[in-house]
Amino acid sequence: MKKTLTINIGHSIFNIEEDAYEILNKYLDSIKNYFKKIDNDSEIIKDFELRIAENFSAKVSPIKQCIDLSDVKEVIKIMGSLDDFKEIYDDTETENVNEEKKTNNKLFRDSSNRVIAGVCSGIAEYFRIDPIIVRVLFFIAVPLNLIVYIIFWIGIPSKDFDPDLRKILYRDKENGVIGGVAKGLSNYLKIDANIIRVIFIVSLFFGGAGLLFYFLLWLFTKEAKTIGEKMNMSGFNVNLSNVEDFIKKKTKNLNSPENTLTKVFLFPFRLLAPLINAFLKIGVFVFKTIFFIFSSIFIVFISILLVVFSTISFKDISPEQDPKFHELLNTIPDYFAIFSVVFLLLTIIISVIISFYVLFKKKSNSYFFMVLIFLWIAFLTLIMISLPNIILNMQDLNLLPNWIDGNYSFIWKWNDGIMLNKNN
Amino acid sequence: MSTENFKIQIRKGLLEFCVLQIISKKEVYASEIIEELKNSKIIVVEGTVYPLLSRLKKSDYIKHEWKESTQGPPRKYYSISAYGLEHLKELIVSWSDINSSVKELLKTKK
Repeated sequence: MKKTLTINIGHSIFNIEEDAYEILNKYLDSIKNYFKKIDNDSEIIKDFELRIAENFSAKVSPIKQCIDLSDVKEVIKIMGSLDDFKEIYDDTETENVNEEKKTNNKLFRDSSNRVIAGVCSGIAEYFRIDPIIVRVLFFIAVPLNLIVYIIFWIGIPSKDFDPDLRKILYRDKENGVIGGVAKGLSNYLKIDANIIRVIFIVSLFFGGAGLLFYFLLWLFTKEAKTIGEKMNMSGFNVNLSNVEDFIKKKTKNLNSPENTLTKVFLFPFRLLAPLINAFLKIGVFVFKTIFFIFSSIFIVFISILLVVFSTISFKDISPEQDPKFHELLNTIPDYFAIFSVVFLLLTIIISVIISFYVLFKKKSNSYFFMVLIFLWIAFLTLIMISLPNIILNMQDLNLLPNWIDGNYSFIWKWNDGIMLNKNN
Repeated sequence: MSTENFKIQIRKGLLEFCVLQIISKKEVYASEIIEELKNSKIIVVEGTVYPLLSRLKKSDYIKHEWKESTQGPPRKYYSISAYGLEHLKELIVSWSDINSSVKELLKTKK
């Protein structure tokens, strides 16, 4: 059983299997891209689609109602791949290559593939590596990265990149031993998987940096599932000859026997793999649970702080109730109270969004998130700037020691909100 | 120059001429052009025809018209313009020139 999609191509409707659709889509995209220069009113691509539709209608019948991968491959063979067009129209081709070379020399933020502002994936595009690697490095290098990130954000213009030209790092679970991370990296870097495995294992004895890297990659990368993803993983560009090459190569790979050394080397891991996999599943669950608990506690804590702060800032406490505290409150300027409230609110919203992302992989609107982060940093800066003055002011008035000596506690009263009470 | 490369170069040069010739005979739609070119082994893959048709249309050598078909969606029928016909005549003249000179060359070689 396979999932099918319904497509409307050249005014006709076809049911097409998912993997076949993916290849067809990439094929049409590559053609669109190729004829971009001469095909202003997209007439060529429409003609292409019409002809493909004609070819498809010859493939379907009452007993075979769905277009499958072999049909698509056949049709692509009939229509011709980019290499075939290059023979006839090599003049357009050279222009394209030149343009590409030009753009690659500059560093851009990648607006087509971003989490916050596309800095990481822009750097990745520049060095022709996977954005995930740069993101993981950024993630490890807290908090220096934040500054670097913002500088890059401001300093580098953004640009859309063609996602099909990008090589993507996927986990190759099919051919992997544990999670397919090493095999995925080996596909990506075109290095033998065993070398990467050895590096990972050796790094275990040096503080376990490799382990951290492994788990981060595991966490951040997707497993290659569809044919298109598997091809992207190996750096294939989709056209007919490539699809065939790829499938040939894959079957050949599966048949080629491993040598004894590899077998011996991998044996303990093969043995451990189910165990580690089970352990990891539990680990991920435990991690998520702990993360959930911590983020909930954090959010609740910040919320309480917010309530406390807003009630004591905006509610007048009479001098009779506690002269010292009244004086203390008076030294806090109104603007600072407002900054703090907004800052805490932003913190809550951002932590909720991040928690949702980590726990359920639900992405929010990245532009919205970008603005939030920006505001958060802006308010944090404002607070940092104004805080020293206020503290100095308090110290000058000799307010701080009395207040922090533990004789006071906050009490919640239904009618009055937060109150400061002197302990007996 | 390999034989394969030679063939490609020849086809490349002649493709436009052949397509114009086919269209000049009668009103045809893209698939008919493709069939004919494939039968005479001038093209290998179908996709090469479309950019060419688009270019011919931009040069006003040919025009197209949408017509209902008995089976399936409407089809795009191409026909040659007066300007295109003129262009084709010139091409035919130059082709016969080249053709006869090449024939002459081959003869003297024997």
